[in-house]
Amino acid sequence: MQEFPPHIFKLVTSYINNSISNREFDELTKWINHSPENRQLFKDYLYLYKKSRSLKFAESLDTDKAWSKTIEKLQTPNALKIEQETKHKITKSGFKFLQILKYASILVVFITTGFYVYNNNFSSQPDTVKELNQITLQLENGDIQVLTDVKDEHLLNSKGEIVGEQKGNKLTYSKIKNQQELIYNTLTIPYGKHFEISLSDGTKVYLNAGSSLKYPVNFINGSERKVFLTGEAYFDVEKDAKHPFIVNSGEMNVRVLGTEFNLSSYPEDKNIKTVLVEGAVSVYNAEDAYTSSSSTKLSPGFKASFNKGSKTVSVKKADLDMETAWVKGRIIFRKTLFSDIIKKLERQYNVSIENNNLEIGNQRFAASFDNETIEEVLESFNTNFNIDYTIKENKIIIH
Amino acid sequence: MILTDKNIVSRLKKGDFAAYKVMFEKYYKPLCVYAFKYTDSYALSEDIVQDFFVKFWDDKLYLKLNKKIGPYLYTSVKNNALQVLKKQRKFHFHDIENEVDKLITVENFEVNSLVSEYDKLHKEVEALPLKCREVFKAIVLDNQKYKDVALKMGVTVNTVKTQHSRALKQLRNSLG
Repeated sequence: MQEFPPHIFKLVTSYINNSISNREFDELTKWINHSPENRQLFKDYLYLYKKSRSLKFAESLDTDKAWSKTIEKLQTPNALKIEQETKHKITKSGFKFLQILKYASILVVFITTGFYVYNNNFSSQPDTVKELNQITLQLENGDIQVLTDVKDEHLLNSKGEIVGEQKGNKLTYSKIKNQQELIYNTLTIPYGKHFEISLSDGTKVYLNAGSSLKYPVNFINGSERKVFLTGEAYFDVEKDAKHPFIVNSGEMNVRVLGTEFNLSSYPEDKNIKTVLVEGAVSVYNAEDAYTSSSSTKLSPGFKASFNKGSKTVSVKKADLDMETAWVKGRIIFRKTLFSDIIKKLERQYNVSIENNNLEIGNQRFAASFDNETIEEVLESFNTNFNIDYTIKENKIIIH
Repeated sequence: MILTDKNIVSRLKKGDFAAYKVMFEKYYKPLCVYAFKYTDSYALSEDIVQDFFVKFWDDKLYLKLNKKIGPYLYTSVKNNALQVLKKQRKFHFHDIENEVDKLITVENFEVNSLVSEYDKLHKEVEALPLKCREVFKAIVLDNQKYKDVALKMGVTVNTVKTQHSRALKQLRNSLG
């Protein structure tokens, strides 16, 4: 086999290293064009060089690491990222958890998506995700407690002091006098479950499936009462004109004095929906300070939809029965888009539904359910609307 | 989770993040190797592919997807890699490089076959005489300069070059 003359070989190396000069490149070009043999030799060398380097490169690639790096760069917050970190935090240490506690809303998105992934039978997800499929309470120091619904016991803070008690599906905080510092707990409800919590001021919150609420263990005298919601909850706010009650749901705040209302703010929904049952509430962009002109006041029986993108509010008459049915364990759909029905069923029954029938996704349906199982719900859609489905393990496929 | 490309696309269109991850796991390596043909840089290739995946999700590029996913991914990564190449490379033998790139086909390759090819190369390299082997690893695989290799091995630059071309000759015959 032919070999490169030494001075040409030097040029070839410079070419490959991208350090070749104008003059050298001309010289190499001339040599390559001089004969087909020269060209072939150069080509062979380039092939060998590229091939062996790319094989070595392929072997050095670590897809898992690259995946973590990539999702860090994503602008759109997403579930898996959170799920991975949560998993990490829970299994490894409570300390790191403390750091993300400051960003409770992030945590929330995390955990909800954790279920989402689980529901999709994501094979690489270990058991930790399954463990997350429980009601959890995160304390101020980042410790996470799992609340089982049969538990009947006192609720302790990280110092071991009694701050409240749990009875079955209900958590009640007691009022502590002379509390000067805001200490937050976060209650997270997975798909398929509901929970009721009574805050230290007496305000009752019913949390719907796939929701999370961050609230102070005790409200401070003289300042507003503020809690943070992801998902859906029904609030029965204790009247206290001196201390406005504010619910932050990401982009939007609801400000109330004492009233009953339903707030739905799931991350996957475009709108944050506030339905007022009685009293008065105002909704406003969370980036703005509250004033009567920056906010939209809602009357009982009306619903405010806050668009997360445009940050605008539209008000419509509400169907109170339908909007608050879930509190009584019922599901009511009226002129509801099938795609929205699917979302709701997924949350309520902790199942994953794949809709392969794109046509019905945009159609509207009416239905109501009380204590039906998911199979019964699907069967009724099948009988009444001729919608075909199959169930495979934890997954439902609509045809 | 194993999904066909068709399933990946239909799930992506619903904004299914799990499908996005499946796609990433399936295509990340091949796309990197593909980009590498143009960049000859480990870091740059990974950056190009990762940046593409970020854009793909953030800008919801999947919504516009109406052809096969594989060709779409390779074309996108190629275009991005070529842009980088344009900026970085003043001198380039386009025709010869193209011919070579066609020989190194990574489209639709199985990761397994890649690994076995690498094993083959590894074996061939290990079969080289000691000096030859060291030179080849240093120059080709680790992209070191003749001068540095000569200095490290305590030999002259000419010796390195001789060993290098001997290694190439032998490998060329065995790897074809």
